[in-house]
Amino acid sequence: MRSGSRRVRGLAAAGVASLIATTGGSGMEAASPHEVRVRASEAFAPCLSPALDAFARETGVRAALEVRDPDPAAGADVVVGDDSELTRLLEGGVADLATAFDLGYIPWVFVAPEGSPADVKAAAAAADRVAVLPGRIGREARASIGGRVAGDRLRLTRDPAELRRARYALVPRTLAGPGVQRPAGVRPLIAVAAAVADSANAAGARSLLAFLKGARGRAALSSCLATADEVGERDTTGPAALAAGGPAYATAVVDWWMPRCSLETNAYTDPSAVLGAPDAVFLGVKDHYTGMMSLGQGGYVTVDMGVSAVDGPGPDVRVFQTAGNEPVTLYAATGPQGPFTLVGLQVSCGHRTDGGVFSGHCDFDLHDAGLTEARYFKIEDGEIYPCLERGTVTEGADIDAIQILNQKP
Amino acid sequence: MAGSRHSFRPPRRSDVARVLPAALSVLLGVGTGSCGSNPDQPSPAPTPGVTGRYTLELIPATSCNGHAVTFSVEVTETGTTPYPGVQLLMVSANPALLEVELKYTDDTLEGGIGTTGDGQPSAEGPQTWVNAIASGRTTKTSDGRAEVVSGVLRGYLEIEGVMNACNSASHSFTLRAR
Repeated sequence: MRSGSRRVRGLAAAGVASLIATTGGSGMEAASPHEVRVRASEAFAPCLSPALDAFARETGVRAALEVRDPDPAAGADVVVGDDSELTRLLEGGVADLATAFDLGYIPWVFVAPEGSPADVKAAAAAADRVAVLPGRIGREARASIGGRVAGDRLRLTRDPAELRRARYALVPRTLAGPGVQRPAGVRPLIAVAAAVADSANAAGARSLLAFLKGARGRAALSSCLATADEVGERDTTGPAALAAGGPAYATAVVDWWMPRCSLETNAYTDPSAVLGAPDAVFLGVKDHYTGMMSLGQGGYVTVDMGVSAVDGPGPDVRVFQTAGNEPVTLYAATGPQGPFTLVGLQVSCGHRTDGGVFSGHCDFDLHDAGLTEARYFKIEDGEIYPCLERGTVTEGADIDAIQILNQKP
Repeated sequence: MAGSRHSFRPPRRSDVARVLPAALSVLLGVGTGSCGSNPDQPSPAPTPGVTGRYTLELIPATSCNGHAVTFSVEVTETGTTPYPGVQLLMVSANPALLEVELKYTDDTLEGGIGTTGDGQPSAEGPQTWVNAIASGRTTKTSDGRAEVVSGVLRGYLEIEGVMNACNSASHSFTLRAR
């Protein structure tokens, strides 16, 4: 899991640590009598409430919880949301990436009456109406049932009571009402907490985050939030690939493109940054990274791996993506001219990476494309956010590295 | 969201002869050295290209059970590096809420269509969210401009009250001159 200490590395980490120590030593914590304002989306509120109560009992500082979309963050001291909800806040510097860390996971469940079809997609198709969260937090869940539920049979609501009352609902487990709960097959939510950069109570925010990261905070959250192991998110593939004979990373850039708008506004547009092993680092100051290429609106980079990946056990190719959870599309080919075959479309790309790697990742299986092997990979931005509406200098998926997990002998 | 079977061959401009110098320069640490630059010579844009006012039509994949929505857009050229490109923006008060950034390779247009989290009302009314890659060959209209009469749209599409969120590599689009 990502932690604050892993988000800031090397010399920059030492610099930030000393900065915090200095300001902490100036008595700001002691001079922070006013409340800490926490903004969290609906799914996380049931988990946070007992932890915030415990914080108030321990410190005497009230933590006020506002339940709503954490973006925009104006007026809050701390935001808690799913990785996908906080990506733009963290990349844009509204929330301080150096303070961000994972609290835990919440799996999605499909709630249906007793006797409904066991298959979630079949149950959704049979439902008269399915309640689901709107907005970014519910996007992957909504897409998971896709065309099986027509638009007029969806009930989009953020109201926890309505979600819990619904006969059929596709919800994070914390918002599930009575009825049979079945695993939804949707990426679990990752509860990420971070301080708001222009918080009026920065000391209070730091104090609360330190509490949530500590043993008593973890204990208060543990009955509600799951661990990576419990939701099957522990990274075992990467270490296994390393143990099986060493990884192969991209060796050359074959082609790349991003729109002029993105070229003019993104700060990290050097395609050679995706070559070699993952080495992207956040330098502890807003917008300062090394070792990645931000693809911009719909941009791509095509690489030669030097050797071929084969369809083997488990996933075959890993893409390392930095700073939040932005989707990635992958195409593969045996030759540099293609034909390129779609392997995975807009795959969520923020799974936590073990082994001290800062970047998250997403894995791809050549089998999904009907391919037995491939040497050339086209990595395409899957966020496709309007460039002119940008709020960051890192628009688009931020590519750190590409790794073969099953290498052709 | 496993990928459905979908293959394409890069247009001829992406051939090895064009790209290997770039790859070699990266390997050898030469080239311009500046972020975002491409050492290749810019490609000329097709003449005449896509220019002026168009109707952009987004057509959901059959499996998504939706129906098409349209947007009135204005096209402007956006330079030639690393590929010649065009930008399509809504003809509306806030045009950037639906932005299309496409590149030319020969007579094929390809690139991203994106809305923000707020979506954008279509000409038919329903709010629409799209984050997808459009790819289509251009043909000439009677007035000499280029248009796309049949293109592929890969990605996310959601139309409020009409169609649930649907990720597909089989959406399609048209870009017709007005």
